[in-house]
Amino acid sequence: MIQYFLRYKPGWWVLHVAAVAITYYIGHMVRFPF
Amino acid sequence: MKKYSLLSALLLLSVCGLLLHLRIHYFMISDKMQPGISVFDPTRFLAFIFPLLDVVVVTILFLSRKTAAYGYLLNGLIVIYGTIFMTHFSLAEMVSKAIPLSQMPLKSTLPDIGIAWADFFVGKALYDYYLKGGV
Repeated sequence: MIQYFLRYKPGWWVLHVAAVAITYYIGHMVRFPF
Repeated sequence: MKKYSLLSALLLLSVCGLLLHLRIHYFMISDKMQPGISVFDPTRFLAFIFPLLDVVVVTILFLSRKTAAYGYLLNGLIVIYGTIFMTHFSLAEMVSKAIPLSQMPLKSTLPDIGIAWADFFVGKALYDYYLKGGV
């Protein structure tokens, strides 16, 4: 398991976790009132 | 010279995307309850801030070979966000205004999504240029 996480640099993980978190937040806040 | 042609295309596409968003739905909207007063719309602000990032940050990242990979990544992320949000916007409009499915190719944001992907592929061409040893 730990081998899998060590395959990529910490920056790679930070970037991906941030991208997923931002995507989740944006999906939550977007509203299209028609 | 190829680099500057691609950079110009990338910059033009992103600037025009930003201007189109500002023209079609500016993020300050007039309040229907209080005429003359504008209110901030966070959803429309997103449609302003992502193209702005595309114009400023992506262009700066693509200027150098060292940062081009990050530019390619951010450009791709912005295009994917744009595709998802514009599709969501079109589907919400189709449902609320009962637009027939047959009219969707022209009345939806499909052409705009195509422009966003053109921006992505220009970025990809620039990234490939750097990968093949371009300076």
